[in-house]
Amino acid sequence: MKTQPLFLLAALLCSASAHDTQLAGNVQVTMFTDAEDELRVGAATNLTFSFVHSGQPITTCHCRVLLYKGTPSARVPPLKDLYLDALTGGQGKALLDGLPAGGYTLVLDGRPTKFGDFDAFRMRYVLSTQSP
Amino acid sequence: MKRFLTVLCSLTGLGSAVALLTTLPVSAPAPPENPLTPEKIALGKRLFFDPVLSRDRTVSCSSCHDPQHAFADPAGQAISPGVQGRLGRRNAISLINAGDRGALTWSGASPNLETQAVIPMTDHAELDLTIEEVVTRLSADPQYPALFQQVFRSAPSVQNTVRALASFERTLESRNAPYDRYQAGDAAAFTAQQARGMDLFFGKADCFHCHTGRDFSDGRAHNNAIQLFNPDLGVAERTELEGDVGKFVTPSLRNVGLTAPYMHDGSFKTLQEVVRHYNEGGEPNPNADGLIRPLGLSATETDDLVAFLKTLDDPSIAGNPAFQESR
Amino acid sequence: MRTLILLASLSLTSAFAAPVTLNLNIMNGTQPFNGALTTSAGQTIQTTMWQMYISNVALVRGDGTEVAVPGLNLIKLDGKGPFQNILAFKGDAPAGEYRGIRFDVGVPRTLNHVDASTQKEPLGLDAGMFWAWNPGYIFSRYEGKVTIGNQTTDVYLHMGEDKRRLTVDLADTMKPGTAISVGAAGKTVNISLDASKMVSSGVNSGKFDLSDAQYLQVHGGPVADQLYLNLSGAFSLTGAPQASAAPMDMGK
Repeated sequence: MKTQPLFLLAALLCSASAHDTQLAGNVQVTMFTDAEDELRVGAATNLTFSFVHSGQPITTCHCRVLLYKGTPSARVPPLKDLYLDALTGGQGKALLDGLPAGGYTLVLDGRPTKFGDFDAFRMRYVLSTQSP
Repeated sequence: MKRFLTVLCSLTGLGSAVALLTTLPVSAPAPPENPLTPEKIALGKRLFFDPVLSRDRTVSCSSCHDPQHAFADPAGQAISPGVQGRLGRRNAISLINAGDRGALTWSGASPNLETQAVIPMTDHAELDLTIEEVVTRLSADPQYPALFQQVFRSAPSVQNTVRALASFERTLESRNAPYDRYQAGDAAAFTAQQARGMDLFFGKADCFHCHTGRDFSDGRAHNNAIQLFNPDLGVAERTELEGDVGKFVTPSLRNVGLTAPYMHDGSFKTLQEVVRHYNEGGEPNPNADGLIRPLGLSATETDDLVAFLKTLDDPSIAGNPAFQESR
Repeated sequence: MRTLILLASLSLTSAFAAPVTLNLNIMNGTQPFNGALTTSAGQTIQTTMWQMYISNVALVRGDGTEVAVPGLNLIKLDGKGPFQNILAFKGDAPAGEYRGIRFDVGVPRTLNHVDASTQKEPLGLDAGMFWAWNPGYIFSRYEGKVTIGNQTTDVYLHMGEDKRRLTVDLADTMKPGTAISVGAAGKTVNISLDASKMVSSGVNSGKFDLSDAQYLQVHGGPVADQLYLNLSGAFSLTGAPQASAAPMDMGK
């Protein structure tokens, strides 16, 4: 039995603030929104994620965004569940719309399209809606 | 000691009688409060196959724990129906070697076979009797009062019913699969593909982390991320803890090729689907076990792994007369 | 000399052990309970069963110290009753003057996680109080039927788990009026349980409304927490203190 280096996904479940660049496994991830890194109430918010691996922007990923009210719970589905658009220049975008005021957790689940391109990661961002 | 007795009796020509047990069969260890005797095992076996224990007298333990399918759901059924065709929530777990396990049921509810037996007897979607009705039902039967007197020196009770059932279940031991023979030194028991699959199981595919030990289960509960969220709370229905939502006890992989479909809800039809799930890294469930992640198995490796899993099947179970209903 | 004193004190203790009986009357508000239980949402449940463990009984002295009355009992009632003069518990305690009594509804922690299939009654499986799917016993198992509109549904109000072991404290050490005198012949302590309180309040200050599914089959969670809160105000001491006790054995 060969021993494998264990890439525990739990260790990669990083928490981050928007606009911080975090190392998720071997990918650097930066997240920002067009609402001063918060979410808009009653109007759409554009999210942008930027991914860098081994000094280069990554070209493709299976990147999924889940939005939960408050803390994520395994009892209930997320409010939003969508995939990032195709990456351009190492950046992927998502649109979140129709959110009531409050606190949210955004989970970014990133997997390579081709195994080995980078290590799968899962990031959590705690976001709130803009004050009026 | 039990094995010695069995061998000794065979040698002296008493044989390993099947219909009438004169010796104790190979079995899981029994607790001091419920020692094994041939008569108790025979009573438990009779109860196991008897629909008298169900409200409408159509369902017995064997309806969901079918000897032809390693005492798991009959072919192809995700959920076996109970009385009046009611469907529960979960796939019936194989009872083979269950007497050696600690945490029984998908949510680890029962520490032993005795207490586990109360669950299906009283579940609305399964046998649907109350504790009181079990006693009334057995006491009114033309034969059970005398049988209980013979075995327990008392009238039928739930306590003794589950003791008899557990005693029979403890005899459902079987470790005579190609995997066992290969481990014992028979190099011809495996093909090259199966051996490659075994290397993957204990290596790159990381299955052994949870599916470990001689029965391929760690006996602990994990959320293996088959769903994004868990309407069936699993262990959390007992503990009421958020972190336990969607955790289910690792099932044994013995006879896995005989006990499709898979997972707690029977939602995975084939072993290929199961391996593909783990290979892709599962759903991003908030309680997903940290070990669930993409594995990078090729199509060939997936086939090899499935081939290995089938070496855990023991085909002698379906034909073993000791496991069949006595006629 | 020391040996003589020890022997003397031992004989004194045993001479003063007397039977202490808890005699339970179930009420419905101010009326005797007759099996019909009305919730705060106005629905009436016809009781089919109510079983409850009583354990960890102690007599409380005026200085706050306690004398344990060992034992555990399972009260078993069906829908027909009677619901008054139920033998809830019987045990032995030293004779003396006490300010009150306290007991638990439930099974002590040390017994709550044993293997029920190895226990004698009332802790064995035949008592029907063992949660097969959860380690531990049901402390209070109430069942009945309710008709809402033209639908009759089963109601199961099951409360258990270590965190919901209910300590009923009927000892006010400040007030001599709750005095319990245990003489050589023993003592019967009369207790009331107001069943209507069990279904008086719902979660989050709502009503105990059986048209809401969460109140129909309760085994745990917030509604079981509410049952615990509701029952904690439901017991009281009743009747004048009695000098002696022939236990009124009409319980099930």
